[in-house]
Amino acid sequence: MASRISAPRVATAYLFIAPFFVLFLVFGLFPILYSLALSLSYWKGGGAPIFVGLDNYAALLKDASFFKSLYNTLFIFVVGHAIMLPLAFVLAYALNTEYVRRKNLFQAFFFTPMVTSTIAVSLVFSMLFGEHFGVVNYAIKLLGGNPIEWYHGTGVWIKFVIIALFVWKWYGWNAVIYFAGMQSIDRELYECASMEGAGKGKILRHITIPLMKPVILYTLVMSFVGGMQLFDEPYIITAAGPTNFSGGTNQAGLTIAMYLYKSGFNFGQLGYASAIAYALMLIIVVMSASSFKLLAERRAS
Amino acid sequence: MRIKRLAAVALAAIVLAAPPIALTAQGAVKKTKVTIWAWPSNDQAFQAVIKGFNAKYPDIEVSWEMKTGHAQTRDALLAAFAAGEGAPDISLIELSWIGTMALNDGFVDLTKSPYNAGKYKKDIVGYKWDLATAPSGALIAFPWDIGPACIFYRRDVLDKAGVPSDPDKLAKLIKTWDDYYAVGKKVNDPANKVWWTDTAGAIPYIYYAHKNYFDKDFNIAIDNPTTRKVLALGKRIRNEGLDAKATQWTDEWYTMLSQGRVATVISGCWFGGFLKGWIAKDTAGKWGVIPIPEQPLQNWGGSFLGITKQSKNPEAAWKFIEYITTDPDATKAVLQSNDFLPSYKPDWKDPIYDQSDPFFGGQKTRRLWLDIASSEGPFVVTPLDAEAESAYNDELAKFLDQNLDIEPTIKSMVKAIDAATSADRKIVLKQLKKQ
Repeated sequence: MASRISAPRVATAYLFIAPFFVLFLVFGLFPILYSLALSLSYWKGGGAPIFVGLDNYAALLKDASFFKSLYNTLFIFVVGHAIMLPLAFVLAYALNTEYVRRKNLFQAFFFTPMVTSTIAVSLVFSMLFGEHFGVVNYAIKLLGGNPIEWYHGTGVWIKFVIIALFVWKWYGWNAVIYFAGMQSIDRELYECASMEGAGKGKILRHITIPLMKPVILYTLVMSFVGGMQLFDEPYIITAAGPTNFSGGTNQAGLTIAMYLYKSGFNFGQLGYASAIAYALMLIIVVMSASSFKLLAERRAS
Repeated sequence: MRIKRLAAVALAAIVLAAPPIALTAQGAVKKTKVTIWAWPSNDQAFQAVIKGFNAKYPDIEVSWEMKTGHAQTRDALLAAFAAGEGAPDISLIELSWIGTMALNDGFVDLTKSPYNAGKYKKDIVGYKWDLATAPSGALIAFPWDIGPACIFYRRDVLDKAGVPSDPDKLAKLIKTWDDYYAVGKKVNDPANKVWWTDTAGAIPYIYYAHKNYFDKDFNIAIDNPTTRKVLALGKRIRNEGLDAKATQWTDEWYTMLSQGRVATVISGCWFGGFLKGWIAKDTAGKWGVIPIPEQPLQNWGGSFLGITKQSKNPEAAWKFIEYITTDPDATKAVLQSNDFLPSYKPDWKDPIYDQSDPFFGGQKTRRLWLDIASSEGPFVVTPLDAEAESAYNDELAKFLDQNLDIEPTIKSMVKAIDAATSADRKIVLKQLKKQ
């Protein structure tokens, strides 16, 4: 059956959606494909790239720094979210109760860290966690403990400074999303449940959380994509000293994006940096896809 | 009607023809334009010399564009090279990325004509010339300021500990690395929050700061007795609490410097400018400098001026570079505006370099720094040094922070340097074979 819409109409329709595709082609697709071509080359920025096949990827698989950065990024993501998501959930739950008036005010308050400048905040946090004159160490001393060497030793504490900053910045975003999710749950469900004698705990376990699963998964996946690309905060916190592009002592704060920047711009190895970018993309795609698959299977069962 | 139309057309023709006619009338006074990319506060230096330059070359118009910092300048250059257009005529190049620029073929070879910079080679500080030379032998940028490194110390802290604070006496006292440690033990007073030095890594760092990672054949050269000596020194200083464990260029470090909590800091000569300018403004007269013991030839930082291959006016650009780096009036003006010491040795005989500096208790610091830059010592540089240095510093930090042993550390340093530089090394060796 021939289309009822006239040809000029169809052409007009395509013209309307064309701008997006043109922009995507030029600023999205072309860089993505050129990056792929670069990842198969050796290029320092001048002259023509030299084709080296899969050498960059082979080198990547033997690169201890790359795997360390992968570990760091995952550690910061997992531990950071293990702290932040329950915190955001609890805050959203508290906000959702009838005891709290002026919910908008609290939402705005939670959201304020999001609108701060990352660089400014990272500088402030690195000062707060200063080893000699930092406020955090001062508080620890007051409480009778030993001041922590945040940037020395094995460097593990560097990760926690980054996590502290990360949690501070993003808890509000997640709390607001969870709150919106909770608000969309039909009040009647709660009323039915409490009429049948269910306590607050049971309601939480059997109604709120199951219905919030899609929202929680959404925040997890969005956080994962963003978390894997974490750059600003660890870069600024470890920006001083001789290990300044390496994420601090023992490369403890080196995330994948930082390693990419270091390889590409500090060392000028643009081909290798492109390979890192593609490796990162693959990791994100594989892990997001598998988490979606898991959810689909769960739903089916 | 017809006449009106004719008049309108005639008027239009005159209006359209006027600008080109006016331009050709001015054509006789056409100026060659030269653009420079750099970062603050180098614009002060350009400003200081532009009058003298235009007096000598009135037909060259120089303008400059300041990027936020040296990293942004490097990134903008890489983008312009990749795009094939947009690069300036001249760019300032920092020491830490001169190696990358030497390998990416974006700058002209100044030894070729019409520049013939080779005639200056004997008059330029040796290591600066080497730093700007690509493996192919091309001089990709002309050396501008040098950064001889030395030990900056606080006279008042040393006085309090009963150690002579006069620079000549102190230099005689600290002749070896062991002397540096021994004097440190006398001055170190952690109970009162006064440390001998800011970081134990300073000496192992400066010894390999951007040099000597490789020998002339590009073999990794750090497995030697001196490395063991400096690592042992760093370990002793760290384990016996002689360093404040402060990270340089953080707020805590600035606070310690202005409060006089560290007795010595190893840095480049430009550090004085920073102290005077904002880090420790109120400590005038309390500082002094001595050379680094055993191997005084040390350098930290410094920059170069190169002409990009995209430049349409390379000869005019060269005239400016030649002027600002070698003309005695120009180098003197830049010294006064920016505290830059020139790489061009003939200009060093100006009496201004023998002035005493009240901030350093009246010491003749400039002459000392020039002497340091002229001293003898191993100084082999390659375009791979920035990557090697990063790998070396990572292993050094681990060594000090986790109190590791020297032998395994040297092994892991060699391994890390090899991993960081192998890709570039292959290409460099290929380029060398081609000649």
